[in-house]
Amino acid sequence: MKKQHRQQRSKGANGWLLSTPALLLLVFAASGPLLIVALYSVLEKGDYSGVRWILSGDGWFRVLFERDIFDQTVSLADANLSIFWRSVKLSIATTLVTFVLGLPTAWFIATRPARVRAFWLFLITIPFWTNLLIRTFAIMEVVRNEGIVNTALMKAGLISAPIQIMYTDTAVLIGMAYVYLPLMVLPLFAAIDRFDFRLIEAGYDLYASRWQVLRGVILPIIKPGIIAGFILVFIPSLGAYVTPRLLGGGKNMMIGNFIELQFGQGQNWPLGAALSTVLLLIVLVSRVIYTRASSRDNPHG
Amino acid sequence: MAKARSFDVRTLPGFTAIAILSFVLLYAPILTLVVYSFNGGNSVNQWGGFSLEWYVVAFNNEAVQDATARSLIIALWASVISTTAATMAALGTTRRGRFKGQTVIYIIINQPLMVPEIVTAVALLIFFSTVKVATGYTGLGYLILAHSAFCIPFAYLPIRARLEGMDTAMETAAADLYATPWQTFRYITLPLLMPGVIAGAMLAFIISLET
Amino acid sequence: MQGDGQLNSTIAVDARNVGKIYGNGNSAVAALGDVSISIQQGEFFTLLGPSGCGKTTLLRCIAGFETPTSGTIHLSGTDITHTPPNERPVNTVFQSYALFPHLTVAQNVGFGLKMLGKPAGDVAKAVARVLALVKLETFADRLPQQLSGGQQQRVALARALAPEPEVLLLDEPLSALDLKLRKEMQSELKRLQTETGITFIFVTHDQEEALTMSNRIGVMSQGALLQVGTPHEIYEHPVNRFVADFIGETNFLEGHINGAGVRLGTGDLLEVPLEGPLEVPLDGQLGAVTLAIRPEQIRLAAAVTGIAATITDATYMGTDTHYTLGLSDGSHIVARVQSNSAGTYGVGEAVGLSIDAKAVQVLKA
Repeated sequence: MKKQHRQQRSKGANGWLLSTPALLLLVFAASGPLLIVALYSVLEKGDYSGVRWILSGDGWFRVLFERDIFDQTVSLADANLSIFWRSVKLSIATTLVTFVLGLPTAWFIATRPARVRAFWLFLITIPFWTNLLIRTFAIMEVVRNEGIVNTALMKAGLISAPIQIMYTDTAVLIGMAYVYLPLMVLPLFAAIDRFDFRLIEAGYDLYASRWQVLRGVILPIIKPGIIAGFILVFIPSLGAYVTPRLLGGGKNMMIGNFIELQFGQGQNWPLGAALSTVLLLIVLVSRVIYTRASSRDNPHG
Repeated sequence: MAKARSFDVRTLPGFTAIAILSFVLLYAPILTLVVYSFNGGNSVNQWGGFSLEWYVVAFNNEAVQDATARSLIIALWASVISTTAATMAALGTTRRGRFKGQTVIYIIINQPLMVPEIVTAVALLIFFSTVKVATGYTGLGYLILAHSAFCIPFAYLPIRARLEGMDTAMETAAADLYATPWQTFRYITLPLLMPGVIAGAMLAFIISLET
Repeated sequence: MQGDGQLNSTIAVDARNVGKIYGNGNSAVAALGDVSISIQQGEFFTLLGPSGCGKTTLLRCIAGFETPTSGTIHLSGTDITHTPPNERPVNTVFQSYALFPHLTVAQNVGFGLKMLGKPAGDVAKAVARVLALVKLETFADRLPQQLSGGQQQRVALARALAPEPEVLLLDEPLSALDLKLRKEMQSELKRLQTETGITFIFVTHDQEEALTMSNRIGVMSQGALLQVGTPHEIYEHPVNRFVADFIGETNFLEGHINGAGVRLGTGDLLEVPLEGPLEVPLDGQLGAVTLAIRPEQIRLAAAVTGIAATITDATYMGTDTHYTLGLSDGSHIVARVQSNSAGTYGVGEAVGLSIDAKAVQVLKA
């Protein structure tokens, strides 16, 4: 009996021991900085940038409220709220667009013959490895007033003046969907690839239509992949700052740009740190929901 | 007369069309950009003939050269460090059954994946400015460490996937044939794991170059 | 049981009160409960039982992949209960073969000797010898995935034999092969065992395989060893209903001990010999018993002699015909009759059946 316990304990000890280098690195260079961010959020704003080492709730206060410069009255910070709301809205829209495009794409790849499947998968991942800036510039070329879409439509005589897409929410949505599509396709592919296609035969055998097979058989079974894809797209969309800045211009900010702004010259670092912490909390909550949802589906996994 | 076609359960209506549309959407912008980068003219609107001029300009720019060399050095070190750490962690977390604290390890390892990029950027900005103020050190070391940490999950995931797909009977058989734990790792586990390690290292390298 | 200690020198594996419990607390599952077994040197011993009966767990305890929760295991007199697998002179042929996919056939076969630190020349010689033994000389440089299932099976066998272990453990090694190949490998295994003289411990759920190959069989169920004996003993004299049912086809009839024999539910008296390794009260009391009767030990006659029965089903099986018979007390038994013998009977026909009383086993009810 004792030997047994010792063996189990040494199993765990070995697991920790082997993981130590990775854990040390991560705690030092990834978790540590996050804690410092949390710390900065409760400090006082420095004169030009940075912070003064005095405790202050001002950073957190300013996440939701603003104080009038003249009479010091407190009101809800409408501008901040609208930025939050736009970020969430655009991120959800991005997730849905990538899903509508990504599910058929993942299905298409998973149903190719084994020989060429890797090739199609590779094709999906190439853009993913291309620099984010380059990809964003690429999409700019497409949606600009003088870009491909407008030029083509005008040449075809369908429109007389270019449609303004750049610097609108639509441009940001197109850009983010473009940038994050591979993140949706990959987990969906992984789920469909494991899918037992005989189940579809069984579905058709039992008189289901194609739509019923999709809704009643395929989607419930690949649900973990769908949830994973949603999380993988939603989280980076919410924190995106490069794509919204380039495609949305200065006016249509998302949380990411707003945070970025706080770390510019003469700006408010504690507010930026507090906003970062809020973003992190939103992500953590969605993560917990995801874990709950997937563990309910699959209690043994 | 309708052509006799076998009923393919793997096709769903409209899926192939949307899939092809997705690929076109993915590649059209990039191809456009590539085509324009060979443009001899100054404006993307006018096609000034095929030219490598912009690439020559980029390569001759010293700042670009320095930055490229710097990124490569960081990426090389980061991929080596993160892959080594990730391989060890993957071995520690998959091959020995469940143990207490495993979930904690998973959460810490996957942390960089869960944190939005702007938060990571902010965290590192604050961190490095604090470190700079405290020690005055601005060398590559910190960047390499930060990149290594950030790349660990990208290296860890393919390695772990490979390990989980590997039959534990291989290691059992090696132990049965008088191999010590180290020999089992050296002659059986590592060679079989190699594709995963290479994939993990490449991912880490690319991720590091990109950030 | 038989002359403890005296036979120790020829005992290869001696498991004493081995138990294995997985998990702990409420979720604990006992895979093995207090199994004791002695396996002789040079014996072909088979552990037989349905899946989940603990036979593979026992094998893995002997190999060293599992540590028993209680009890000890001795190998040639040495306690190896806590010896790691790589230090036991025991090799295993795995059910999945577990051939190393990145090594050639020769490298696979030589792996054990290499790990033991044998010089390369000796390893090469041993590999050539063992590959010749399994008739795979020409495949030395192939990779496992370039071989057929049967060939992979031989490589797995060669790999386990190459280090000349004291005991070879075989974990359902033939289950992945088709019927014809399985028959071939059965005689091949038997030949290898005789040629090498190595003790084989063979695990299977296939009773026919066990009967044809083994010197002795241990029948297991639910973590317990029910009976150990030669194939003949196990088949002819099963100790309980489980063994009788698991080995071959058996009819069970309920009855009571009555003086010279057993009175059946139909009222007929069967003069069975009430002796031998029986687990029944033989003190002359009216004990309830179960009779185990093999289908081939029942004879049918058109005339109503012996026990009266009605044919309820007849299945033609080639050389034999199986008749299901309804008895007057409502019970059913199956009789196997050679197809070309005396006559054939139709469903509904009344017949008389006689039972070879000497072959009937009397079991606890």
